[in-house]
Amino acid sequence: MKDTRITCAMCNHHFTAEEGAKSCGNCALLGAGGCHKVRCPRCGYEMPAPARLPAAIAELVAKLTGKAS
Amino acid sequence: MTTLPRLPLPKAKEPCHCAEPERASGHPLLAIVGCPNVGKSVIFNRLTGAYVTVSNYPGTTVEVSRGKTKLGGCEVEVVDTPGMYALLPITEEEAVARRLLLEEHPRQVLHVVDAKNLQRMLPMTLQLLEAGLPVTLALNMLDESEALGFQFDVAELGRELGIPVRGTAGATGRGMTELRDALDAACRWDIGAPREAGGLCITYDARIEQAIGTITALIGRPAAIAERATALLLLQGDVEIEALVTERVSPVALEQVREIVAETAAQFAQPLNIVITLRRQAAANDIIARTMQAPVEQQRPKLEWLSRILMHPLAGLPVVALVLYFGIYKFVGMFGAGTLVGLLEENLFGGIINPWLTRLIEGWLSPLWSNLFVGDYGIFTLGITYAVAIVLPIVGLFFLVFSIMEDSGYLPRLAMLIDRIFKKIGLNGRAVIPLVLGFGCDTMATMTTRVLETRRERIIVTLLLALAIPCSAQSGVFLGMLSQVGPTALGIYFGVIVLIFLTVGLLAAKVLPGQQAQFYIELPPLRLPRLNNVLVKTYTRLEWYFIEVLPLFILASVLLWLGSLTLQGGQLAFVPHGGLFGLIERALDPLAALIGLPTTADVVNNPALKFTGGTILLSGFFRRDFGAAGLADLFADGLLSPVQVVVSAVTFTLFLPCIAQFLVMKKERGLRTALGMAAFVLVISFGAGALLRVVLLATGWMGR
Repeated sequence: MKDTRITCAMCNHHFTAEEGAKSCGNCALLGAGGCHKVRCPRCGYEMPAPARLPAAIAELVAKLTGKAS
Repeated sequence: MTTLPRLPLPKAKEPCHCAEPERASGHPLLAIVGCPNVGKSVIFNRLTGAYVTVSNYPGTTVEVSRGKTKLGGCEVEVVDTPGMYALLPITEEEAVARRLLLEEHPRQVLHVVDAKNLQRMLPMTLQLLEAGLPVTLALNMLDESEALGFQFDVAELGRELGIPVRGTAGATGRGMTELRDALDAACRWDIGAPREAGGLCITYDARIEQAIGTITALIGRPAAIAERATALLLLQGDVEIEALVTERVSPVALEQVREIVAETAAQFAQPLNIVITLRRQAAANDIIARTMQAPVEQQRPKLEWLSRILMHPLAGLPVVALVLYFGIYKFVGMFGAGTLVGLLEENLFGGIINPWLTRLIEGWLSPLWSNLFVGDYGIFTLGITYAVAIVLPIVGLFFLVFSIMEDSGYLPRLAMLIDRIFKKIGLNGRAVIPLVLGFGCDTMATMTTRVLETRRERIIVTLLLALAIPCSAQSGVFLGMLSQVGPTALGIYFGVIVLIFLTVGLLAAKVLPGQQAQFYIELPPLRLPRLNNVLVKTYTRLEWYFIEVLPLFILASVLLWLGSLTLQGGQLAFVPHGGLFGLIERALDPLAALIGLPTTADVVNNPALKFTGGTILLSGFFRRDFGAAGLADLFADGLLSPVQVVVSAVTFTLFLPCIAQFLVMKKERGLRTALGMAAFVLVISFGAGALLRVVLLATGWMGR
């Protein structure tokens, strides 16, 4: 998650998932897991944090097709 | 004969060049400034090492880190200022950062920018130069920006700005030696040398330039920044600078300054703050065009004409109508709530899974326990069926439409369009962000009201979120149900909700005094949504939503089952609408009757009614989408008339937020405000529902 780059859908600001998690208020209601969203440090717009499954599938496909770096 | 070089004669009593008479500590100051999250602290740590003190800035709760380093042969104090976007402060952090620049006489200012967002951050560099501050620019996060395809001519950027510029990646240490060398050279100042760093000077509109000239002649240099910068901040309406000027110039001069500001502002259609900010941004864009190459994707010519149509107050509204018709009515409503829910709830769960499970479990367990799993409120037949067969398909399609709006760049344009309407109710487009997020989850959105600049805006938006913004699951289910009834039902629903939203917003803006803040964002490019992006975003939203909702729906089933347990002949028995749950239903009957929903009396006549209006009210407060799913279930079973569907959708959309949202309202706005808002929302929701019912029954628009 640390190196994932995100572009805010509202204001086009580029930030990393780590920055997005840092600027979030970490909601206590949903327990230690948080809401699994990232917040744009610039405008406050929230987006879902990158899910692990699609990334894992993309990685697997890349490996199978020999496109892995 | 050789001539020996002459040694310079020592000057008598010359003060050490390291001494800083204007500072109490006597040490020169290096101030690190920049937006939040650009890597200032990493660079600060690399410059200062381990010896750092962190303390609150006097009179505030804002933390400021200070350390020491050797630069230019002197011991220099380094301060890591709080994040700031511009010299014109909005937040307390920005005010502290500016105060540091104004009051602590920095000998050198290190402006740290995120290279991949240079276009947005360079205007502040220009503003620092306008202020006459000696600036060094660190183009940080260079590695990330290069990985994204950005290329920079760092040397040319330095020449254009007239200041030292160095590319860095604080996290890896790249460029830090060069940055330290540049600071070292910049800090080899002579005590008598002028502090102003030449730098670039922006020329503004002739009317603004004239105003700057007159103001500077009137006030001189009342602050520790250049006269020109002070004049610009006064024109931009900077309250703090005006207060400072008030202390240091004559009342006559001050009155003249105010007149000049008012006269200049009257000559422009937009506020002066925006005119000046846009000019500064244009100057930054010119420099960037000559010194930076953006990735190919960002260089592609944008669909400017379409972008303008989408944001136009008249032309933009038909597009909103089209999005609502095809995206919500046809796709989420007709296809999701009609076709998909029909297939899943009636055919798969109602026809195959639930009958099979019922036979299986009733064969194993006594009626008391089997009802926990497969009865009216059973975990499988209610909780899981609602979550998987009703809410999941509707919400999934809703998230898909939302992701398409996001990925295409339509969402921020919708925010700009709504900004014009919002200004009428004392809000600005920034308020769109929490309100749009409210369609996802009102609880999270209430926390996001923190991004709003004034307390007044935060209160208005919190109230509007509690009152008129249904969360994703609730709106998905309601819109699905209303689409099944017909376009008139959908039109009445939207009409009433928008009317109440605007009326309450207008009244709140009148009651709560204060100024409205300005809103401008950089729009992302319009583009065809990328399938991969849209699917991943939808999946991600759905995954976390489902993980959150499923246990709560199961818990609701268990609570309903527990509440229906009653003693019969000395033994516990499951009695629908009996026990504690029955008592609550009867207590809520008057409210249900007010909006024409089934009461406990109706249940006696029609045992097929799983819920009364009271149950739906209560379960909706526990979890908004559970209440909505209960209504959808009654509707699917043909137990609600079109009038009941429209009235209940309006009432429950306006009804009290769920318990989680109420708790966040209390946390953010305080108990008194939260209770006041809850009481207001309760009265408005049932008042509007009852009135709408009377009107619909009297006119016969939706049948009887």
